[in-house]
Amino acid sequence: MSDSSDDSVLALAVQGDQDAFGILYERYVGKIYNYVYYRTGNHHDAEDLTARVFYRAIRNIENYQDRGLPLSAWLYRIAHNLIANWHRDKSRRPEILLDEGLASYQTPEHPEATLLQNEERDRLLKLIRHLPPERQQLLILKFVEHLSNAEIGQVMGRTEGAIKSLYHRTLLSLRDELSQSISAE
Amino acid sequence: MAKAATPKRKKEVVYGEIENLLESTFEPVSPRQTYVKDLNRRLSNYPASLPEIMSPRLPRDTASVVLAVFMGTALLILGVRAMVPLIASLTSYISTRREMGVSSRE
Repeated sequence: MSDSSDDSVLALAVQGDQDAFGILYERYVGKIYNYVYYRTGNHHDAEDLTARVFYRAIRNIENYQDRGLPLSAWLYRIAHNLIANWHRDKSRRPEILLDEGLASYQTPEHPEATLLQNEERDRLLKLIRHLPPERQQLLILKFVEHLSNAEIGQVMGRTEGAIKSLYHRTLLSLRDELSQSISAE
Repeated sequence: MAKAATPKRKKEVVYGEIENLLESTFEPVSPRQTYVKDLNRRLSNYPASLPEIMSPRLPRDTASVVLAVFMGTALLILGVRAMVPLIASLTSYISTRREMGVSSRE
């Protein structure tokens, strides 16, 4: 069953087969974790929210309706909604740092170059953190999950053209802000 | 040429550069294997393993109870208030009938 397509495993999971749900979990836990990690900026909250995503999924799987979208779109939407709630709850607290992930980058052969690269990444991540949630979502789906514009459109409930346009505007906005940030130094 | 390119680069980041930078910034991360296995185990024991904090039914149930108590109290108060004039009318009616009964006997 572990080699079966999502559709056939999903059909079993919808009927309450927990083993089938387990297979879907194994297929998607990494993707959802990545998505949540880059939206929250730390592993602790990524673990907590990823668990919530799958608990919500298992609770609602029996009501799942096939609308021609991949299962991942459904899971990303759950994650997106939970992250939105999480940000709302955390809004009174200080901003989350995105430095944690950068600590893992290692290229010991060129420490100076690594430092500069890390600075650029750090700067970019901070700028990304200030983008509207939908733009953050788009960038993560594109660069972490490597989804196509059409697939991103399915997740975000938009047309492929709208995603292309949003992506273009997001990159232009990032480019301008990054240029300003560099000039200011 | 290189000298001229440096300040230009400082002022204007090329569109393609952003994509490359994003590509290198968003390196995939992996969840801890112990976490993945533990969550899988908890999910396989669902719903027994569902932590209360993750259950949206708890606040919904609490809200329902509060609403029910509030509605019950309101209905009780309204019921009592409606009964007062009813009892008063009934008492008045009975006393009137008694008086009429007494006067007819007289």
